[in-house]
Amino acid sequence: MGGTESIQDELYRDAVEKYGAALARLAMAYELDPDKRRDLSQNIHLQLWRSFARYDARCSPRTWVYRVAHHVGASHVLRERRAFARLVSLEEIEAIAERGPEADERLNLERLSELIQQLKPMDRQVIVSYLEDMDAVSIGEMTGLSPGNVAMRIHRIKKILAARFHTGGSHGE
Amino acid sequence: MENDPKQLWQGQKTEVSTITLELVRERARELRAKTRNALLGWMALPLVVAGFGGWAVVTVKGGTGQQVATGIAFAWSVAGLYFARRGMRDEAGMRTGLESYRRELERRRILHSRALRWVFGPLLLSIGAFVAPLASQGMILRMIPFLSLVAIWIGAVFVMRVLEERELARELDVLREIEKGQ
Repeated sequence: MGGTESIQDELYRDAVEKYGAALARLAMAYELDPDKRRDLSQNIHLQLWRSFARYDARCSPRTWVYRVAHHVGASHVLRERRAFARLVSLEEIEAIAERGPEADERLNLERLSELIQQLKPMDRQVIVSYLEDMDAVSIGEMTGLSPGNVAMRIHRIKKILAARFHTGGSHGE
Repeated sequence: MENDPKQLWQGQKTEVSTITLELVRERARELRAKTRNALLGWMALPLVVAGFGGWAVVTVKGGTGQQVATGIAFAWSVAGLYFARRGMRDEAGMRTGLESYRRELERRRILHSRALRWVFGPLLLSIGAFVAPLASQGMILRMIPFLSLVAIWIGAVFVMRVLEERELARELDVLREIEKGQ
């Protein structure tokens, strides 16, 4: 068992070294409250470490790390969701997307966080992956969505972000 | 002024991580202890049913019907220890986001219905086994405050359950639509 444990530890350490900052940002996408976010982050790390005992290299470590982390985040959202609080889809956000006023970096980041917090876990996973610069193929591999579905969602995300952040929709995929 | 969402997102300040492998192992130990405690919590239900049912049988003396109902409620709650938690293991990393999210929603639906069947059911039966003989002995009026509280509790549980069920069903429908459109 000792050998297995050390491989598991090694995979975990490697993942944290490479994706630690992205995991911290991912926790921000799923929880705004700092205390709850600390717990969520610890839970993400715990589940990640546990999951590496079953890692079989069928997908890249990056995909694995994001899958586990998003899974923990989505479970957290469902568990913490207050009664009658409703999360929305990208389509609904797009329908009400209004052009926000020009704002400084801090305000823009707050607006971006607010936007992400309103979304259902599935769409949250896509937008966070897009913001983390993952390409459509990797997002599809991680989420299980078809390339066409991912492309359609990214198109929506770009439109929403362009409307809210005056970017002119010029981001590459 | 920065308004590129990708740069904004990736450039944001995050808390300095204090999570170490030792802390993760510590959390794993805590989780195991929590799971053990949760199991003990589930075991409390048959004890409550047996204790309450036993007390009711001794004080109310409702005859064989009451004893049988109390026995069924106890056996029901003991069976719930196994059936209510069966097949709830989770293997996050192997699944895609779509699959794992759907399973999480389904898991929640199953947990809700199992809680009704294996927790709510035996409790109601043991309360019924207590109340029915008293009602037949003409003591129902004295029990109105208690029965009102039980009725409010049952109503609240059902309303919450129906609302949660509807929300979960709606989200599952959306995911099915996404899967169909793949």
